[in-house]
Parts: sequence; C-alpha cells; structure tokens
Amino acid sequence: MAKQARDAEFTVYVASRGGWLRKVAYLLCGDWHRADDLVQESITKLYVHWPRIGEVENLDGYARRVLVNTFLAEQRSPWWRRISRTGDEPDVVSVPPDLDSALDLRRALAALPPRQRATVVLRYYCDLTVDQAAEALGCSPGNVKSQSSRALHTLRGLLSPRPAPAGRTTS
Amino acid sequence: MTADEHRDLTERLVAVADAPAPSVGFDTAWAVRQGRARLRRRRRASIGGAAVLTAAVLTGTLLLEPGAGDGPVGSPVPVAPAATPTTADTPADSAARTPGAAGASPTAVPPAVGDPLASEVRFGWLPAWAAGVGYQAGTHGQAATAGGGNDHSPMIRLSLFPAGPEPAVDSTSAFPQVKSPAPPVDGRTAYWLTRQGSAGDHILRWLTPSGRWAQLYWWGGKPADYSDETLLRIAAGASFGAWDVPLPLWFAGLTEPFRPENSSIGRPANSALPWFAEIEFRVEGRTVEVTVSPDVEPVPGDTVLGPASPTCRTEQGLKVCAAVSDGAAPAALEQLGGLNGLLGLVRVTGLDEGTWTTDVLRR
Repeated sequence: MAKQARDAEFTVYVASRGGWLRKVAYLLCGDWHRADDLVQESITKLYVHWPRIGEVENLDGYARRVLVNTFLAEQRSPWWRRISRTGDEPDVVSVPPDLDSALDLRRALAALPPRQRATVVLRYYCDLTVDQAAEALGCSPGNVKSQSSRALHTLRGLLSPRPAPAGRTTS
Repeated sequence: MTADEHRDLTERLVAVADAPAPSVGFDTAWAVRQGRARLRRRRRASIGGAAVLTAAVLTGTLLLEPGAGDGPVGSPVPVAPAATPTTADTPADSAARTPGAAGASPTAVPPAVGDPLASEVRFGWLPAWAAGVGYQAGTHGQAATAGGGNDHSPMIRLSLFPAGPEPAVDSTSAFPQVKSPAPPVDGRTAYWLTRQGSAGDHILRWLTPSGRWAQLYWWGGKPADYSDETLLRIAAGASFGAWDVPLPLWFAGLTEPFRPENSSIGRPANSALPWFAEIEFRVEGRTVEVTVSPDVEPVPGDTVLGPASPTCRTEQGLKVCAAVSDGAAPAALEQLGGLNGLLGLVRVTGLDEGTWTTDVLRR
C-alpha cells in the first residue's frame, strides 16, 4: 500500500478507536500516563503492520492484541520508562481510602498479577469468550480459564459488595 | 461465576474506564513518524542482511569454484531476478483478505507503461461527509476509498474480488466473521459480514452484474455515523469496469528498471493538502518514491505526507519530490543522474484537474 493511503487510513482508525484503546490500557495498568504510553507504543506497532492489517479486516482485534502484548512485555522490560516523552515518572496507582466502587476495583485490579488482570479485562470488559481471550493473549483456552478462576477468587476477597440499586430487591 | 457476578464485574470495569480522565496523551503524528522510521530501519536491515547473505554465498561459491580467485577484480556480479508476485494463497489466507490483495488479482501489478493507477471500481452516490475520493493500486490490489472532512469521519473502501466462486468467510478464527442476509443490491444477492469484537467495522458484499463479488468496508467514525441504509445506498451507486485514474504528472523517457509497484492518490482529511499523489517504483530491490501535491505550507497538526528527506522541485504550483526510502540509490537511479536526474524526467500538468493525464509512464 502506498504510504499516504496508509497514513490516511491509519489516522482515521486511531481517531476513531484511540479512546477505546486508551480505556483498555487504563484498565490494564491502572494509570492514565502509563496508559497513554502503552497506547503510543501500540499504535506505533500498528502503523508498522498497517498494510497487513488492511488485509485482515479485524482492526479492533489486532489492535487489542498488540496492546495486551505490549502491556505484558512491559512487565518483563519496563520500556515505558525509556520511551516516556515527558521524562516524568508515571504515577503509581494511588488508592484513597474510600469505598467508592470504582476505586475499590482499581485497588483490586492492581493486586492481580499482569496476566490475570489482562484476562479479567479481556473477558469482562471486552466481553471476549474464553477462546477469543486465548487468541488475544497467545495462550491456550485452559490457561485463560485457570487465570480467570484465580483472578476472580482474588477479586471476590477484595471487592466490597456494591449497594443494591434503589428499587431492586435481592432474593 | 454467576451471571450476576459477571454483570457486576463488567459494570464496575465500565465505571472505572468511563471515569473522568486527563486529556489524551498519545500522539498519532508521533506514531506515524516513529512507525516510518522503524519501517526504514527494517528495510535497511533486510537489504543489509540480504547483502551479507549474498556475499557469503558468493564467497563460498567462489571458494568452491575451480579457479576461484583467478578472476579480474570487479568482475560483474550476477543480479538476482526480480521477485514475481505470488499467486499461491491458501484458502485460509484468502478468507482473511480483502479483494484484490496481493496475488489475488491479475490486475494487482501496475503496467510498466501508461497509467500505473488503474481502478476497477467507482463510487456513485456518497454521503455529504464523504467528500474526498482516493484510489490505490499495486501490491495490495486496487481500491477506491472515500473519507470524510476530518479525522473523526468514517472511511469507506470499495473493491472487487477476482472472478471465481463466492469469496470465503473467515469462520475458523477465534473472532469468526458472521454472515447475515442483506437486502439485495440492484436485485442481486448481498450479505453483511460482522465480527465480534470489531464494533466499528461493517462489511457489505454483493454480486455484481459481471458475476464478480464486490465489497464495501466501513470503519472509523462514530457509531452514530453508520447506518445499513447508507451502506446499501453507496453499494447501489457503485459502478465497475476498467478506468485509468488521471494524475498531474508524467515521465519522459523512464528507463526499464523503474517498474511501478504502488500508486495512489488521496484526499487526506488530516492535512492542509487538498490531494496528494505518489508512485513507488521498485528498482533493483529498492523503493524509489515520486510524490506530487499542491505546493502549500503545512499547518500545525498536519500529518506530513511523503518521504522523510526528499529532493524536491516546484513548478506550476505543484511540489514534486523524489526519494529512495530504503537505503542507497540503486545503480539505475545513479545512471539517470540521481534523484535530480529522475525529477528532470518528470513533467507536471498543473493544478487544474482537467489537464491531468493517464499517459503517465512513457518509455
């Protein structure tokens, strides 16, 4: 594909789906600055492989896989410390001591090992099946099941029950 | 995990992801610059690796050859024949590819003379936001694209499958395509293709009068931009045939090693340039680019199109540039006098699109 055609298509895609990728990245790492760096690196990889992506017609799936792989690779080698464009150290996840359910979940996610966190995000935020999550993570479906099981066990122990919505009764 | 637990966890995750966030800190233009640099490094490494391998093989051959080392210094080195496009796609590959992808279409390789930018498809009706229509042809097939007035508008790609059986549907991956019936297009069979996890992508395939299948691929934009009716109306207005796309330049006396590989003209939404055309030549294993666009200053936020360090000239309001994108100049380019010599063969027709020509490559 000629370069300018690739640039135009790529730019439109990132403008359309960059916000979604950023949210997935934030759930993976728990910090908006790191999420931006994760997305930056992921879309750069996406650009390099764009001609082939144009042929597979699963842009979101490919972008999500690149993002998750970049996140997991970061855990092995903290590349984001080297490429940070601001030079600032990213914030660590800080958890105010309140019971707001969002912060409660952030704290609980931060307690999970990276692969379990990625499994939770793919299964319960991206709504992927076990097989789809396995493809995104590059592992077997059995591995996804065991990672999910461990992650959910940990989350159950950490998450406070949410108050029932008004007008909703529990049985 | 119970269904309630599943729903509760999903709702919590959505709440965290949708919480107020600082302004976006990633930069698409930066990704493009870095991506281009990585591609250049890869090409150079690839060429370097091939050169080392060739040298090793030649050395080994010469050492094993009777009388090795007796030849004169500077003996001609045999040049490997140019690679030919593969046509041996597996069914699985074909299922995942767009129509006209490399090897799938007999018209994928641009001609050595005439117009390197041919098209088998044309848009008819388009939504008001899809003002800019572009064309591309080459190793990734032929397609017409229509984009919007800004980065946040959707893009639509129209292409045609090669003659043959109904195109395959990717049903074996973890994210299988799901086929569902669509209203007929001009009275002919049509269907939608969707893929779980790719919410922004929409594909419509339909049978054309020639018996070949056409495809519209919609991506980008906001969910509210999309409607099935819009895509069906675009499909009904599309036409199919063989057209040469006029370009604002032509080459006088281009030598044989310059074979066009990829060509395009686009109307980028993210640039001050109203249009931008380029021809990539494959010359002795290297890529030589020639680009042409109106000679206008970029505005802040522009994605800068074209090669990184080009040699340029301006004429009749047009800026014509040439560059070797992956290493040193090939011998055939040096014989023309380098990039300046190549630019000396370029004639421009002007800004008026009525003067553009399809007789682009003249030997």
